[in-house]
Amino acid sequence: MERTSPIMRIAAYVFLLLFAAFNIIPLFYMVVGSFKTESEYANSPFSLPEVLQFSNYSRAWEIANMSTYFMNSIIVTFGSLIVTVVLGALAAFFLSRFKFKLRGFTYALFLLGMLVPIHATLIPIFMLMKNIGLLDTYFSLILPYTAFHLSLTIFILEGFMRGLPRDLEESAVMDGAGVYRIFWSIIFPITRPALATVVILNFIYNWNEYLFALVLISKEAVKTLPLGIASFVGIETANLTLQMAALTIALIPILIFYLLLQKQLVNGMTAGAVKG
Amino acid sequence: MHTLKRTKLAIFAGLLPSLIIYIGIAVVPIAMSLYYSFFDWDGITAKEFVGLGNFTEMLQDDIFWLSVKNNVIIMLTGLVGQIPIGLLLALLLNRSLRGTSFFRTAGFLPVVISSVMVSLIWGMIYNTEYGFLNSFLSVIGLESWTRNWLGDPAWSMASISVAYIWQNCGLYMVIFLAALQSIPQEVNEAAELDGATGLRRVLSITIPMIRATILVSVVYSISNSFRVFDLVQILTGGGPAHQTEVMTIYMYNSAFLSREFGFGSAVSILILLFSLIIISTINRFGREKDV
Amino acid sequence: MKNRHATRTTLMASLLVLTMIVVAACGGNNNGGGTNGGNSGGAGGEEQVTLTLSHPWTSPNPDNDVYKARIAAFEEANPNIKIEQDAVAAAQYKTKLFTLATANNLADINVVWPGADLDPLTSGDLLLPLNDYMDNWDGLVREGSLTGYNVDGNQFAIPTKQNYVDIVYYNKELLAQVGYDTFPETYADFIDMVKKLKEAGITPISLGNKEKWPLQSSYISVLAQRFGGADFLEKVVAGEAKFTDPEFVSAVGVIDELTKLEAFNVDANNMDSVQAQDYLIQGKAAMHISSATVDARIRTNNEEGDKFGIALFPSVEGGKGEAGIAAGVSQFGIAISSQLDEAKQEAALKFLEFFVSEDLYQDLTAAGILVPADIEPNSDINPYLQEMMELTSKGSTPVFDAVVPTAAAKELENGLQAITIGRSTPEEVAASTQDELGN
Repeated sequence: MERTSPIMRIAAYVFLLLFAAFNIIPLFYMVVGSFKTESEYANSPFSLPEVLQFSNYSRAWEIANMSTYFMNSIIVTFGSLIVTVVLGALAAFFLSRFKFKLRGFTYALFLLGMLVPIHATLIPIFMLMKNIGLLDTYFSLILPYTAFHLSLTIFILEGFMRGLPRDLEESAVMDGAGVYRIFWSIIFPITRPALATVVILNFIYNWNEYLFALVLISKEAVKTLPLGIASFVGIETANLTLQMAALTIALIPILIFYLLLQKQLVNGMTAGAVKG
Repeated sequence: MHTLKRTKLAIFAGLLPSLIIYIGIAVVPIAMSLYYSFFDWDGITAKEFVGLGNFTEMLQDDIFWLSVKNNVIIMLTGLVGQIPIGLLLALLLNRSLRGTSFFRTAGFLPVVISSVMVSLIWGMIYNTEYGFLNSFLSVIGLESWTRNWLGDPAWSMASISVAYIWQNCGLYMVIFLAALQSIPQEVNEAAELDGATGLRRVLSITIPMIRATILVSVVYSISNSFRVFDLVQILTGGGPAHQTEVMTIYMYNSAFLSREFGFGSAVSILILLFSLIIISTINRFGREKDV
Repeated sequence: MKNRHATRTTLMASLLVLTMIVVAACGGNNNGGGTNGGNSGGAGGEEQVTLTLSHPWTSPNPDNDVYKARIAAFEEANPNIKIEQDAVAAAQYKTKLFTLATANNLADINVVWPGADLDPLTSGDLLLPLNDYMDNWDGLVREGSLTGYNVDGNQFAIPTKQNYVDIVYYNKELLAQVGYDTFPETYADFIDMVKKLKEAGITPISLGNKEKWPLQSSYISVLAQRFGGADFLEKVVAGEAKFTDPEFVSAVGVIDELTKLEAFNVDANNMDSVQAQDYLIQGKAAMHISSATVDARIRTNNEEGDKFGIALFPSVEGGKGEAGIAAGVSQFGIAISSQLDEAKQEAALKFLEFFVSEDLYQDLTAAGILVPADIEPNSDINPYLQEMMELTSKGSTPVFDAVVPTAAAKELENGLQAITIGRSTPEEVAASTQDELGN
């Protein structure tokens, strides 16, 4: 499809290869480190492990309490992800494709959420959750995650939907289809690449979120993975190899999730559903 | 657009759930912070109303202005670095190149990799005596360029910015990749018939087509740069002697380490205001041309 | 589309809503205050009590394992009391404790730090005074170890672990290389050695000061004692001495002198404490100053641990404090919330009595950990711990940030960093620290 000169092609490859190598090295270092003993790592951080310490993984799993936290992370991550993306897409749809009185105000209000420094809200949110009795429940995490990521979700989706051609819904309106019909059967499918983007972003943020989980959850049964991963570091002590093993375990779901969604990310419009 | 009577109700019903969660959980805490910012309060003992005292104290603090300056550095380098690189990656990976899927994943890795590893890796790169960067410079004969990248105040913010760009450009790559899908095939084909190729086509057709997304990314990049915390905290801890402190670290230190929660809340309100002003300005310029 | 409308209203909209919600927030705020306390379901005829315990014992250290085993043992011995643990990573433990304290929502039993870190909790009346129950620990816990947890005559916590923060770990081979078979006993000799190491191309001291506490805690605590005498810091806090006194300026001056001699590794300000330990372990530096806890990484768990010796900071000429004293802190005090109902309080006291006991100290000693009690070890202790116990047996001086209020301690930390990059002088740092302290 492209007529690029061979030189440009080679230059592009060299750039991409260097960039990829640069990004993979940390991952490689982490995986190698996760198989070493702590003393081996302290003495020579760059060497390959003499014996592969598979036991690091089982110890890390146990110390970070992963059999409980892993499931909790999945519940919280997907719970907030689904709520955020469905509500956010709906809001973005109305904000981008309709004219109404408080449109500008509502949009600006949502935008505000992208600017809040999260640390500032820790104590207020803690008090809020305490007052409505949701501390130590999944909701005490799902609600803030949803609230704070609705902004970004709406922001990205609104931008995307606004760029869609105007006459898209016209024929459907002629046919007398309701607003929600139009949303589900016309806009939602077309927005797939942007939806994939916000799904990925929401997944990462929720999966890795630490501060809210730290203060809002005190019950072991409700804690999430990042809290477990932080377990390996003391004030002036650390067990880095076990931590790397735990980090490796926690990274796998993100990578799988990203790989699955990548197809959606770039396949959205190729079916030619839109006529420019 | 749709001006049917019925849709008014539909709009209201569609926005309501988002608004309830958002206002209840995100806006109320901001308002509470605003309220606390007028008090001298350690978080535990009784509050003492000080009016704008926290704000005036802050505005007279050199360290606060240093942190503002550092935030501006991060904002500018972030804009100049992340968005062009992200766009370049997206453009390169939006075509039928061998191994695109691999590159797309590799490009995204820095976004998902734990900050613990980011700290370890960049620590090794920037290490003065044993670091990769200085070793590399020595090997290629640029001995005089070697320096204490993170410890020397003249260079530390630049070094942090490079790590910041690296960590986030994959994010913009993903956003741009999604946007590029919305360019109908026909547009590209028509351009090709006109003989528009390479850079010219990118500049005259592709970029205008994804203008809205570029604006989204610019705003997102700015808002992120004012909230940057983890990366600076793990690379330098804001040091040496406040030299790399950003506003969020300044806020965290006053609220949680020095336990001046009222003061910390005041800082967070100013962070919010600063980014709000910058972003509404950008939005105004960016959207002026929207027809 | 009329997007100008959006931008124009951006500021206005947010301001409007903010003010609107403030009213609601203030009102809503009052609701929660009183309804705290015993919401444990005391169901059934048998009195089942659930206590929450907040602690920072997450990392796989030998002492943490002892603590957790002790909790399990208590639950076994008391089937009607359930301990619900909230294990919080040590680095963020204080942040969480502070947030919970702010909302008056502390766990029933809490691990706390002494001195300045305890003040906010006691000034908010969040902890239960233990004065009436102190018989349990009479003659077991050292008197001096309790004082950090005593505020105005009220004892608020019992410490479980003794730590010394200023142990000098040194590489015997590297020291021998420049002619030192033993660690220098005087400051002049120490500086001489630093110079010789430097000449030999060896980094004298590895320092990981990114988190800023090491220079304050591991260096200034002991230096203030060596120059100013045993109770210098207490005197300053009481207003009887000042940081600007020549003794303290000289103490800070040591950091200045070491900086000018380039005694620290270049990257000291952007390495953490563990990375600096590894510098020593890897032979990239000859000395490292840190707490007794890190002996585990440097010697006990290290196959080549024999390479390293331990020492204390040498005596200084004209100093008012004697050498041989280490800067010590009694860590992990166990405190009980003041908000408990009668049944819970009774259970919590029962736990405290069981948990902080000679058995705990015995177990910790067996695991190679120093304790704030004089006990007769009933098991063989490892030679490294033996050496550490002897080294630290001559008495202790308090750690800087356990005595000096937090804001002043933070001021000092930043000042010390400024000295290490040549942007401040000992006099300036002493003055600004005194300023922050106020009196």
